[in-house]
Amino acid sequence: MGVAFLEGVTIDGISACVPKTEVDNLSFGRELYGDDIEGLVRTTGVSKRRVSKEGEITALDLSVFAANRLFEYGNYNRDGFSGVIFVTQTPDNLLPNNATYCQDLLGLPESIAAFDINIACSGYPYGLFVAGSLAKSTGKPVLLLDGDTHSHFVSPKDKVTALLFGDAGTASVVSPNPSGGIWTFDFETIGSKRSALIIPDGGYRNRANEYSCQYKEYEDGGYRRPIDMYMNGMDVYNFVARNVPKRIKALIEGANESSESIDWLVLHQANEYMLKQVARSVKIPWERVPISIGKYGNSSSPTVPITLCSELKDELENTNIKSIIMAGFGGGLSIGAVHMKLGSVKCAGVFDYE
Amino acid sequence: MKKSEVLKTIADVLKAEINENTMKIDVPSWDSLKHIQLIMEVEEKFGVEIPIEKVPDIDSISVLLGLVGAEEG
Repeated sequence: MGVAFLEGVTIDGISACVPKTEVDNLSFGRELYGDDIEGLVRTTGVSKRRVSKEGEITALDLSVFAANRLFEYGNYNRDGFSGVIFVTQTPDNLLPNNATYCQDLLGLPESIAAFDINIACSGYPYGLFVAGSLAKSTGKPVLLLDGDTHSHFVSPKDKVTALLFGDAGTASVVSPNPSGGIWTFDFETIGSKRSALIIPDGGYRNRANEYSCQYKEYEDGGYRRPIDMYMNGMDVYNFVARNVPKRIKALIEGANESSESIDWLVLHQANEYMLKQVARSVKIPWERVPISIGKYGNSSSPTVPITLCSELKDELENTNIKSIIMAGFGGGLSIGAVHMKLGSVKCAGVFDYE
Repeated sequence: MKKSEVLKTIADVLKAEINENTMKIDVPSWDSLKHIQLIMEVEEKFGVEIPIEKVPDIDSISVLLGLVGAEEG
């Protein structure tokens, strides 16, 4: 898409929530990976991750919890919102969407726009683009919820994906603010590679059927069900290698910034060593790349806001303005990236779900 | 660094018998996670940097040896 701009809005507040159950990958992966587990944990960076039990805690539950804590923390007036947007690929139901349910659960006014955005790991910048546009056009704050429970559709016996995914929900308040500066966006979509990350069954192309819940061994060595995620890891890695540094460089240029002037590069927490390679390519020192993957794993698009809450809480709450790039990349295959200047953000932090 | 040292490191990561002519497609254990681990291990052990943009080119041991700059021996 190239570079897009939005002016006069800001992230006013942010919070995150994770399930209490923690998986220690060194123990969890011992049987599946044998002696390889130490090396894989060191490479991916996923030493721990938070998971929820399917059917008990959903992305909606986690995000609503985060939103309620943020409303209390920031003393927000729930009647003042003009929209609630939910970025997720794991909604409670296919019909209706999560956002309409959140209007009721969170006590938001009925005179509100409420809709979901179905997008994978690149979702947070997309959510900011839409929430920012809505906030600007209505002149009122918009609640952006971003949550997923990808651990629910990962086979514990699929070597490519078993170690990586955790669950999380987040909430951000996007508000009109004349001194909010300019948000610069960059997007990219390679739809021809959509099968590199896919859940084959359960949609309306292949409805869930009597075979969808049966485990099967595949040629790629994976052992999973058709309702589980398939990931062609090499295709995804090659996509990141070819495209993500290029898009971040374009964003830096489009925002009239330089690698030296970026305070924080907040990347989708996909694989720690891969992120080091991306940072090196765009010439941003590793010290300016906050990492939360070791605590929470890869929770899809929520990894960007959860990293803000987990690693940059004090930085965000400080009044000093920081130059920040956020970039998500993954299923689609898709990239979303945004540059903005932030300070004085009400950051409630990361909560355990209760 | 010597080629033999790099080959030993690669073999240790992949837990497979390999040589200079081995193609990635012929090593079942050489999946995406191992691919990243391989790059990490050779970068850290031999103090080299392989640009991420070169990662999609690595389809064989010989390409990896070339990117690392391994010398005969």
